[in-house]
Amino acid sequence: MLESLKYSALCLTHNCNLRCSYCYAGKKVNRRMTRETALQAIDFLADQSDGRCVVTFFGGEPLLEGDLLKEVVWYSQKKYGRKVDFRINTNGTLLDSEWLKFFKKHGLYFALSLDGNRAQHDAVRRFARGAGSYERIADKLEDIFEFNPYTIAVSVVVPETAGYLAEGIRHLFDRGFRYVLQTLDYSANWRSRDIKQLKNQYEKVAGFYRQALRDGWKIAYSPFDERIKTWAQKPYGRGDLCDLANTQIAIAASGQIYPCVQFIGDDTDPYRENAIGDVTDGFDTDKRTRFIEENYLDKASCKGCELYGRCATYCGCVNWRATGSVSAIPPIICEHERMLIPIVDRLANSLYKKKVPLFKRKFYEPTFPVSSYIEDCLIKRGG
Amino acid sequence: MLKIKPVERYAIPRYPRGVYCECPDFISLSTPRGVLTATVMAFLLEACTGSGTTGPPPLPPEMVTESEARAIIDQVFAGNGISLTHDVDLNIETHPGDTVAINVDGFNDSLQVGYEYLDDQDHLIFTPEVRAALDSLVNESGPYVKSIDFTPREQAALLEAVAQEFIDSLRAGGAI
Repeated sequence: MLESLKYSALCLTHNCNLRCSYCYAGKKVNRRMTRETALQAIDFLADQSDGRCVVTFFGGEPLLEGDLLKEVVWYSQKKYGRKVDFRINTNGTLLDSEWLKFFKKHGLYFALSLDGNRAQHDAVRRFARGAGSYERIADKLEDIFEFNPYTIAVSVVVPETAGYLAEGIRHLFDRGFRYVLQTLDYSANWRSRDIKQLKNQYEKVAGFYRQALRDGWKIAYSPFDERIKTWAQKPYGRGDLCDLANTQIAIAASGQIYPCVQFIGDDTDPYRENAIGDVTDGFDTDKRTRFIEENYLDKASCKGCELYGRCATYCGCVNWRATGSVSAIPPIICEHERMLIPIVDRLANSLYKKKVPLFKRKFYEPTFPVSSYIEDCLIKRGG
Repeated sequence: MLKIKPVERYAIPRYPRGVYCECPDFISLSTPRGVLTATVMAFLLEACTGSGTTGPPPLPPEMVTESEARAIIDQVFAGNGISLTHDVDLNIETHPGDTVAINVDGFNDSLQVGYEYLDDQDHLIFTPEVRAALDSLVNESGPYVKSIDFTPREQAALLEAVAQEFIDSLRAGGAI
């Protein structure tokens, strides 16, 4: 069952200049990873991976430890080449042209946390002193797309911002994002009326998405795309959505290893009980195996459900955050999926019925990512 | 209160399952869907040879296709001075605060009048709930969208009559 590592979060610090209301990373304190621990972590990850390992810098806000981040990248690339690939999850407020030059030189890509339009974003993602952070990020978007036109926007929805969802998504795509990865804060206090509101909002997004694909606009919206793929391509199997503690782990600033970044919190008790090893001594194999087995369990509450394999109940991290158990599904996930999957299927049915070319290419052509990229290059060159 | 509730019946999506499909091993003959599929297949195979107890299956009637219906119905609207745009997106409120995005075959935006010809693919979107909402809007303040049933070719003339009756009723009611 134990496989070689493919993904790891590397949390450089617990500190952050924002105080996002839904953050799972615990208290914001100036506790950082030491240089020694960071380089030891890279050696550990390279050793535990048979093939390539993708390491995502996390926090808090990883750019607060800019010198350490650079040193880790230089060290790793000198010693391991492309065996270790780097990504960054950043709130974007500290990005500047120097960072973008560094990223370009070293092949680092980042996902940008941007929840939607200004109202949606600033409702939950504020600086420590209370001001919204949208403006600080919006100013940089032109440079960001110049660096990588395929930069992903990561958006989180909470009950308070559910009413902005459609407008926010439209805003992100209008601003130039091609990929929006959106999820709910499943640990929030969701109510039935929030689900109704979400339904309303997703229907609006479906209308926009349908027209966008008809117009040949190559966008990807994860709540729709991933669910269409579970029918058009392959249903979720074990380990597809979340392979916590197995091929994916997270390393806290202290060097403790966790099943996933969502388990770290502030890396003290009771969070520390979920640690499955450390970078000095390696894995606690028994603890690691127990997490994997629990994540792989068939969900008894889902027995007989026609949507099993199409919904997000396999994500043990989300389950754990919301219920305290990797295998117990929070009702919000079930309600959300039962509401969303029919909307997505109606959308896909209509795109298929209308023979929209981009729908067929996106979901049925294995070479679409490559052919699309080549197309974009040719268009850009033609100018 | 939110709850976990397995979905016991779900309409099979109409868009294709791709070549990547590796059906999870829990979809087997032991599940109701597996048994139903096997039963239907056995029934059809038996019927196809003509020698089974069920006899050869009846041929379905030839139906007016969507493009044929559009040609007929568009002409009726045009004859009444109403030009239509095809494939128009609308958001319809089915319950307070609850909207469904639909796409209709023909619609005039300034008059808020149009129609949808419901072929065999449309029932997943134009559910009874959506159709009821559309009918209700026709009797209120619009948009005035007539949903027209899938029609056998031998009854194609009905399409003209239905469309004309709809336009006449809107005129009589002062909607247009």
